[in-house]
Amino acid sequence: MMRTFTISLCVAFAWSASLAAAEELTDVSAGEGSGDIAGAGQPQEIDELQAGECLQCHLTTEDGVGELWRDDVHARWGITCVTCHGGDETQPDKELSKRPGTGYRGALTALEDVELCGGCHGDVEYMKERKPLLPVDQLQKYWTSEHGKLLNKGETRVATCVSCHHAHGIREINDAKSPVYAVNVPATCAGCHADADYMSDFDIKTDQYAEYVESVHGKALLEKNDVRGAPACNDCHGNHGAAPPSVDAITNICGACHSYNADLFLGSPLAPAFKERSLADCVACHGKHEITHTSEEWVGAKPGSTCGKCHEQGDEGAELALYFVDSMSSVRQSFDEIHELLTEAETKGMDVTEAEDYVEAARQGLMQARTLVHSFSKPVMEEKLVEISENQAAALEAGYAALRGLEDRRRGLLVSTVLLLVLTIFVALKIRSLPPTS
Amino acid sequence: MLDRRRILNWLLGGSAFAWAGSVLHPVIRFLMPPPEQEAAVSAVKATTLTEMTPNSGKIFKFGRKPALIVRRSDGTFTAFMAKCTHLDCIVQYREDKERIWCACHDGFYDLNGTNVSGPPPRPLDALEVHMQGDDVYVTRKS
Amino acid sequence: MSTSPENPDRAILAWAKDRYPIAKFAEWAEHKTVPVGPNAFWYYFGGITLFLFLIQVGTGIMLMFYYKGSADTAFASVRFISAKVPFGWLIRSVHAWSANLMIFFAFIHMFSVFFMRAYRKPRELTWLSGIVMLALLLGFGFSGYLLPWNELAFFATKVGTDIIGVIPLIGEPLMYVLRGGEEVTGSTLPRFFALHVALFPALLTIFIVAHLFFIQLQGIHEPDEWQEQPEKRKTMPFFPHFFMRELLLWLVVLNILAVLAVFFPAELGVEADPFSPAPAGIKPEWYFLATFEFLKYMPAHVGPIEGEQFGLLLISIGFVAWCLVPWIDRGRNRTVTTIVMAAGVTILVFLSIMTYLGHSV
Repeated sequence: MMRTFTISLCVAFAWSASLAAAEELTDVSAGEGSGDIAGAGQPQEIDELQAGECLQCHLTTEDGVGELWRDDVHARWGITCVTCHGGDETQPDKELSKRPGTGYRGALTALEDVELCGGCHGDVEYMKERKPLLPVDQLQKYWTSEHGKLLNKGETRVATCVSCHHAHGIREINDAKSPVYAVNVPATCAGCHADADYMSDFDIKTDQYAEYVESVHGKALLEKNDVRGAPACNDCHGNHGAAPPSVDAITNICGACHSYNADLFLGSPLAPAFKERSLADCVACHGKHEITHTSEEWVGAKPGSTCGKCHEQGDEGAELALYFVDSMSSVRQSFDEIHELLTEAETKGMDVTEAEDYVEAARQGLMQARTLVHSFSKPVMEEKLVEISENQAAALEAGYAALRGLEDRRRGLLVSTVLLLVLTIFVALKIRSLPPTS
Repeated sequence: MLDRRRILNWLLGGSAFAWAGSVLHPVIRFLMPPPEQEAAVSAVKATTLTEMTPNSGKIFKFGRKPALIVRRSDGTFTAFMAKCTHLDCIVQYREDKERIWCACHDGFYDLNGTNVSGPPPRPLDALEVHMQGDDVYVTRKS
Repeated sequence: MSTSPENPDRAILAWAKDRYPIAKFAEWAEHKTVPVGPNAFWYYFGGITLFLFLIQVGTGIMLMFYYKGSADTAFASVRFISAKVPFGWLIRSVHAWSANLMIFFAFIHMFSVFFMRAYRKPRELTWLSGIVMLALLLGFGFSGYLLPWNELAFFATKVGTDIIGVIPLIGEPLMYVLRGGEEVTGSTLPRFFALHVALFPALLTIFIVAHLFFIQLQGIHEPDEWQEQPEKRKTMPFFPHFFMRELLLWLVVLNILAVLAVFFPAELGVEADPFSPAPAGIKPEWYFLATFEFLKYMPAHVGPIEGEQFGLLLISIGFVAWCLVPWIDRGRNRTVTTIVMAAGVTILVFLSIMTYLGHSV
């Protein structure tokens, strides 16, 4: 039902407002050359913007709409002001161009906006001719989002297409100036979601952005600019279908990147236990927007620790947690000890690169061990810890060998010096025994 | 008198000999080639034809750094430095997908080392593979 | 041939005497003498410098057994020498320390010759060849410093070759040739390596031979007052008296090298990365510090020429004057001699202060 409506809407626009464009479209698909105006195939030069007479006035208006339009991706594809706003673009006169009968409708309402954009972007045939790689399911997804559901109920303060993409001056999503470019997404969402006044009528918190900015993900994206790796809001919530994920979906969402952790967890005895208690897997321990680096203090059965939320001291889980904490902290201590030893050897001029290779291997091992926590299995962890301690032992051994080498050097020097001293004495005696000089 | 001089000469010669030994010892030891593989690698024997079956991977040490050699399903070899370009985890070969995989954030590389999905920002650093009889040697990309 | 099984030494000697003018050589050696007196101590320093050069040749050849002179492998091969080759650290550290000591003793030798006025006729060419050798030693130091291909050396070489580029006319092309391009890159390394192990050793050997040949022909310079008061003249035979003493010093110097190598082994630092920014505290080796510091004090412009060029001009004038000292002070005019000696003291003090400033800043 909805689909038919949007397609017909789109077709209506194509015929009425951009008649020539639609004609060109059929021409091109029929294999003939392109005409003089806006075709489906060729993007337009910016200077030849097809905006009719509208820009005569709107280029200089305060809202800067005409100026923004210059950078809009749609402007290159023969879409003009009247495509969305209606009116008669051939009239340079304000009154005449907006006179009744021209279909002029001014600024779009929230619903109009969604349906208008979705009209073309949901039209497979239309998009295939222009941007074949772009998905066409945005509108479909939108109606499944919280935003869309509320809009359907008549709430107009929700996000529509233009809330995130802007109305004029729409850029491609990989354009760093776009409000939906990965690093800009959190701020774009926060525009509404961090505004307590704006959100006051909706039953939702407004501290997500503040928490996200301080999280590992926020730091990776906003400080380290890791646009390919670090998730923005949309990577967990969806973009056009934005909605809070259900408890059951959490592991799948986190597991999209942390797949190994997710696999380990789902195979662990904790997975069914969490399900029974309706705990949101990853989120139950790590939190949501505020996810920080894990520390060993988390693990353990003490009150205040993460495990301590469910486990009591003395039960099986607490025992395991204790084992994790103890073994991890002893691994850490060994690293400190190794570091001290190698620094000493290095400052004394010994080469410890080989020892550092072992340290590096052990560090990789520790990183893996922290992941293996999610198996919640002692034997699995034990195996990894043995590997780590072997590498650490090798590093220590190499460090001590370096220090022993230093002693060897000094001993060798001593031997050589003593021998030299003896030789010196005899040379001196020999010199004294030479006949006196004249 | 003559005896004393002779004794002195003998002592002198003897101690010179002993001392020269303490100098020559390090020199001779230096000139003997050390048994260990050179750290300044330009070529490393990574594996042999018999050791690796088609569609398998193996981590080996290229100099001081871990590297990954993969035997493709068609029997040919390809090798890369094994550090993921995202956050330095060690990548591994996934037989089931015939892809190189980083477990840390589910990054995938194809067998040309190109990052194809997940966080990795750029391809793996490629190495060059040379066959010598049954042995598979890996060198830095020239 | 008079061979006797009881006395193989003599047999070989007799064999040689049969073929070569050994007797003549022995007679010459017997008559070779070295002056004795309060200044005699300074006569040993030339020999010590020579000894250190021999050590450099020996350890240098040994290092070449393992060193790989290309930008990809140089650093790793030096690390291999330091870490994996038995006594590699020792050979490398001795090579590095001996280089420094050699230049140090060459300076002492030069200034002692200067203050004893031993450069005067007929030893002008000995003086000149000595200066050329000192310049070669500095070239050895400069080229050898880059070879481990670590960060400090890389940037020091950049700065050093920049200074060469300041020289008018020939500076730019000379820098271009030295660097093997516009910048210090991987192509610079093989060039410095070639200079360090082929050209400089060949040239230095020629000059050492000439230097020693002049000394053998003319004998060692004797104190001026002996000409006026011949009764004060006192000498010792070169063989074995002087030779044994010199030998003793060589042994002590070698042991000092070993002590330095054990307690202050040569460092390796971080591998050079041509694209990384220069780290703080880039300093040349101590023997270039004075020049480096002096150029730093130059104003941006002096009249029509650049400050650095002006500084180099001053240094060049000083260098030429230093070379011409035998012709400036011929010992005929007391005032000239006093002025030259005073200038020598000034230069020595100036170099010391500049080196100290360059080191401590």
